[in-house]
Amino acid sequence: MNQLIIFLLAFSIPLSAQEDLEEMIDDVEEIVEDTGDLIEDTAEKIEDDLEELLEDDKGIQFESDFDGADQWEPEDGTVTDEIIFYKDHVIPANDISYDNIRIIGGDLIVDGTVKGKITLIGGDASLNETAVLDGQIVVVGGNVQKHGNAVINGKIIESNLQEGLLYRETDPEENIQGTSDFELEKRSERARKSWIHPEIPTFVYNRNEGMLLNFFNKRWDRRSRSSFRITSSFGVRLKSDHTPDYAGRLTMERTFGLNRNITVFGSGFKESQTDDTYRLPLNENSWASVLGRQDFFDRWDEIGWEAGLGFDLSRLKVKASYGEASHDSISVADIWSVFEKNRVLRPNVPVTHLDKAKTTEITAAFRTKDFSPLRNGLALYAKTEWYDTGAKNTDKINRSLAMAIANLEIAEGIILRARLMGGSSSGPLLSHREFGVGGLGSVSAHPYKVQTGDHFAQGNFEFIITPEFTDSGWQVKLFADGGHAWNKSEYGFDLNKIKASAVTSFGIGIGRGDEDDLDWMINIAQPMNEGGPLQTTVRFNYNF
Amino acid sequence: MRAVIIILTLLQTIFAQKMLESFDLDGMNRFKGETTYRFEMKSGDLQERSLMIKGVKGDISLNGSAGSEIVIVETITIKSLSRKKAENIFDEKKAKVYRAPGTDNISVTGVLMKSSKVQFDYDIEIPRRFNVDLITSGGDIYCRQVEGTIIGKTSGGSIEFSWLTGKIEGKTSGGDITIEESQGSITGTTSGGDIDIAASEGIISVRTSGGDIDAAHVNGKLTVKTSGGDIEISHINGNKAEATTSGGDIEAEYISADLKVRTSGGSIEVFQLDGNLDAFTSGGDIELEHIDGDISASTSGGSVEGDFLTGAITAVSNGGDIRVSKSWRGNNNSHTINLEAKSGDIELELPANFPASIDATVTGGHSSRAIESDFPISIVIGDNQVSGTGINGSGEYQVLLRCSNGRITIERD
Repeated sequence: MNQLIIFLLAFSIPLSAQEDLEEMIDDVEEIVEDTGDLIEDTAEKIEDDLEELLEDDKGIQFESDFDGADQWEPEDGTVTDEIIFYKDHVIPANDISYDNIRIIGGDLIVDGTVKGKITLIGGDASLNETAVLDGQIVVVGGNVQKHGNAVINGKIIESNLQEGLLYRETDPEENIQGTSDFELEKRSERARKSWIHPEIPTFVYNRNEGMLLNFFNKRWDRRSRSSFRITSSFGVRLKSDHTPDYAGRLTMERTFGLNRNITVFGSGFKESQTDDTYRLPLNENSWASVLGRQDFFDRWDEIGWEAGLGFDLSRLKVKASYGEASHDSISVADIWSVFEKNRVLRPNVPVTHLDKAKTTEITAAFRTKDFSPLRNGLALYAKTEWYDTGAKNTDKINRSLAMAIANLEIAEGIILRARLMGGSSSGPLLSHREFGVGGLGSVSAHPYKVQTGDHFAQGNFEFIITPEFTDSGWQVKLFADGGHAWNKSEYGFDLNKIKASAVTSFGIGIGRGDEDDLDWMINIAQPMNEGGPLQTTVRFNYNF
Repeated sequence: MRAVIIILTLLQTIFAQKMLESFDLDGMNRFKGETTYRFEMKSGDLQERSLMIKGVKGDISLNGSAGSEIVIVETITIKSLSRKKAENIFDEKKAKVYRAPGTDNISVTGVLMKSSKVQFDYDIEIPRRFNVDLITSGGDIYCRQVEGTIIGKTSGGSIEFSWLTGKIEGKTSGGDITIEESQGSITGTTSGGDIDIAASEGIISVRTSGGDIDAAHVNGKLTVKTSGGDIEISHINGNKAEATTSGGDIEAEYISADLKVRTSGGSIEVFQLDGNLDAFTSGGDIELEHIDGDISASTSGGSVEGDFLTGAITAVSNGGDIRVSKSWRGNNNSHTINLEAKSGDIELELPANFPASIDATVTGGHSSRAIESDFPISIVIGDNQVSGTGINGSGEYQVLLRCSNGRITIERD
């Protein structure tokens, strides 16, 4: 009830309060952006140091970010007084003169900008095409020649006896102020699409849902102009020997900020859930099912609702929610495939039926700008949840998962990648929520979830020779995986025991692609400690 | 069912946008700021009417109009996370616009910005009679319906001039140049693009370092040069036309002017020329048809072929055959013929009543069949050469034919 009241209050925050909030969010967002930049700069510095250490033959490059002289302003005390006798003085193009100069018996030639005061006695002044006068030029006994395109913001004073008694002041040119109009032309893609209720793929194929056709994906938000947004997605599950079933989600969001930085949301849903999305993208899993009759996710069905808050600060996203849902298993159905038609489908993990599980969840994710597998970058992900199964004499169970991915370009075209994952819980997990190690996207060359438990640790490391290095579309990588899942009742975080019981593997991959997308890659891996047969996999996405 | 699965899978392009994947969405909002400057024209004197745009990056589009108002619209498009940041950029990066007191001398000085997230555009309307000097460091220049001194320079874009009159100059370091319906003294230079000239008049001189040139319907003097492309010129009327390329072919047709064509690496085709022709190629064939004027054609590595040639003909080939057909309408042109094939055959067709004094020599020939003629000639077989001489009619025009290690054939038309 309390959650419902808070949710409704957040939805009804008046629009007038939004502007102040927006400004505050902008500031916070910039801090997050700057933090991301700092991390990238640090990575680049490490890369430079490494290259220097490795005596890379990159050659010496001179580069300057100096963006024109107009960025420069004199420091206090640097403006000088100068007297020049019988010598011409030139202010070159792009130079700015702040000095007070007196020229006696010489000429002044200006191609740059004069911001100080220059006095000529017995000499001529020439203001050429690129000259800008913001200060003052006084000419006594000489002439002033001014190109039509020279810009006069300051003043020219001439006095000349040769042409009779002449005194002339040239006024500054009229600085014209225009009328301005400023508007938001188009909101960012980030603001137009919801990350709370992302677009669901139209077609999903796997052993639990069969063919899931998400035929209805709609978003209503007055073409991104409203701070309210309703998103709906509905689909039908078509499974052999089963009556058609449905899946879907309806979400209502109230957002704050230009980039929808704060979102208050509520959702009702009936959909499958999985803890295995880190292994491979959903559509690649569909491909694996279609081509090879393989499914790398374990799923269960949930029917319920959730409500919460989302914070999107550019590179940092945080989501907190509370929800109630029933948990049930989804039966394994026979699926058609192009190859491996006789492969036995992996059975479901046992799913404990729950009428109502209450879950409080906090998820945070951070990524550096333009994160890509083949560029310097860092990605962090952490999720912690407390679930209450409603069973008597049981406490809430906390289940936490953390993941970090770091990419470092150690030399041009050579990338070192690492993914570290860890999971823990406050007690025994429900069987379908246990952590698992082994198989595709985890530790290669080992059976799927060869180890399970309420704790786990995993590391994946890759050394990639990129297409930039091979100077073609080809890339080659060496990789090593290691991980272990165990129950806290057996031992805690004992590094020696973890090392002794961990499964490990190493391998080589070759494929084609670029820094944005991998076209395909063949990976050949073998268990590292106990040996075993080689395992070959074909991937359409980077391992992580 | 199976086919449906495969089709749907192939159509599948959208990944599940889980939390980490949502970072891939572009976070930049697009803001647009417009500043409009309006002036009423003060002076009627063209000398006191000038517009200079300098230090800007972006496209410039300028149109002359019948009115007396000058309107400059600067549009800045900014990609930014926040509105505040975008507004700051807009305020700081506006161009400075000045007007000299009492005149219509206006300058627009841009504030350069390297960021690719900021884009500038200038849309300008001025009275038709105006001097303009447009300089942009990265963008296209469009200029239409202006009379005066018109200069357009860009470091990275195309230039389009149309309906202009006066002294016109276009220069780009990396784009195409198009000049249409313009007249005056016109020059165009590009370091990396094509040049198109159409329906223009005056003294026109254009040059490109890396593209093709196409000129059509030009009246006046035309000079075109390219360092790396083909040239096509057609419907040129004037006293002189010149086309030079260092690495391409030249095609010229319907020319009414003296024509000079030079190529270092391609062929030359000239069709329907009313004027004298001077053609040279270092590495291709020369094809001529319907030339009413004296011809000088030389190739270092190809053949020369010509039909319906009414003037004097001088043709030299260092590596191919020469085959020409002479037309004679009894006009006042000079009709001497001088053909030299240093490593090939010569085939000459003459009108039956052409008053020719024929002198043919084949160096390296040993048989009387080295020279064949429909006109009566006497053949002398000498030491390592065969010569043939003869006179047709009054023998007024000399026909000098020289070839090495080949054959000479003279046919009667």
